Amino acid sequence: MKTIKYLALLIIGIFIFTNESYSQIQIIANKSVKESSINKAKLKNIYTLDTKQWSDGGKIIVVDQKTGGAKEDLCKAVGQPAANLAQLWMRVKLSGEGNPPTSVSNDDEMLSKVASIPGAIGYVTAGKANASVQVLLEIK
Amino acid sequence: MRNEFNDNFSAFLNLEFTNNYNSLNGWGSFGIKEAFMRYQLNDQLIAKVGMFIPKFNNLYEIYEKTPLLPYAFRPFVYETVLESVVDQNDFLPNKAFAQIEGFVPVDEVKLDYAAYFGNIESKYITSSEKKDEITTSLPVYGMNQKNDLAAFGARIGARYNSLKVGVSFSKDMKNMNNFSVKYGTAAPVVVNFGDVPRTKIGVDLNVSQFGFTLAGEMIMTSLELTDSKEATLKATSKASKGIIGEETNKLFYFTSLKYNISDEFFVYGMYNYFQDKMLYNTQDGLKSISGGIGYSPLSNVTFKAQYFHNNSDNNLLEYTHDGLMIATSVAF
Repeated sequence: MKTIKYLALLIIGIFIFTNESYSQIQIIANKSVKESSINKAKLKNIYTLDTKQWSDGGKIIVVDQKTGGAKEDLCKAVGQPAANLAQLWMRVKLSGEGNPPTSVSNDDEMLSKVASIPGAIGYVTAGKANASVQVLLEIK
Repeated sequence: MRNEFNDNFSAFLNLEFTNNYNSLNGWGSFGIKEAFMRYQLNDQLIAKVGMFIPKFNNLYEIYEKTPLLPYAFRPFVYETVLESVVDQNDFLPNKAFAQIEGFVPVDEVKLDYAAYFGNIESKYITSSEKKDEITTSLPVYGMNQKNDLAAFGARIGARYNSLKVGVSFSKDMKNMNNFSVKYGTAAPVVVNFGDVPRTKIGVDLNVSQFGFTLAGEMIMTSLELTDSKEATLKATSKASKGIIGEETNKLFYFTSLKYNISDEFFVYGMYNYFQDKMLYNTQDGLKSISGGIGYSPLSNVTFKAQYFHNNSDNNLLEYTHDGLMIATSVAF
């Protein structure tokens, strides 16, 4: 009986100490961006192309991924299905209100693009961000 | 074509070339649809000057940008092939030449506003050329002597995730100099009310969830006639046996429900209704039920097909029309 109890405690202990909560995507930005963090509302405004400038007046360059799990997580965070976002970006372009995001194929291309363009913002799968970019927000 | 001069200042030019034959445009037409300069101070204040489509109901801003529409046959007041039946000027504002707009964020909700100043209806410019044209149900306008009229309007709205709602307002003048309606071979029925103030109120809603997109709009238009002009209209209506109505109110609404079967395929159904109480053929309403499908093999190419059934019941004109419309939209 005691053995079973100790085993159970051991299993619970292993579960507690090894069960980390992982974020789904990391919102990343070029290191030239003065803001060290943003909230979800601002992320939505940026990806719906409503907000086009950082707080210091610098232009926001939005980078998107064509498909993938990270893209799905971003759409959930922005509160818009991917098809809606695509329509919204086309509407902004055809109305002369702005430019649609630049598209990349995967996390590695995203990191490279965001790191190289001043004012750029993008997103990668959690854990993929590296020292070439800054992380503004983690979406769990 | 869009050009950014700096982070705040940009210019946009939208040209349209129509290359299909129709009786109005001959073998085609070419024109400037929009041309404006845009200055964005911040999210709350954006100014535009030039010639552009003002903010008024969600579909109005994009009805000429067919790649953004699932429909092959647009709702009545937005469908240009119906211009001999539905006078767009009675429902939609003309192009604006100055507008301020922006949004105020409240947590994750965006409160939108816009106010504009713009052109009156184009019939003031072309009416002298059309003075002798008489077409069944198409009102004919006489020459306007004034050239100091303008239109103004505003929109307030809210957005939260994929939900977008708004209320719009527009005020201008309707050219009712020698306003006439012709029925059959009878002499046209004419009233001469001069420039009549016209008010348009619009309401719009768009929401998407679980692959469905629900869209709907309503536009109500009223004309401000003086008591003596109203009395004249009633008397004329009685004498014409209803060819010209005794009320001036106009109403339009539509609702559509679209479902994205996949990233490429979608289906939708739509109902729309139009009523102009001044004209015999639309006094009792013109209705349309339609359904359509679309296929987008690429994000900027959409093939569309839509079947529609339009009908109207009134004493002077029974109208039923079924049709199938096929269209392709390409954005580049």
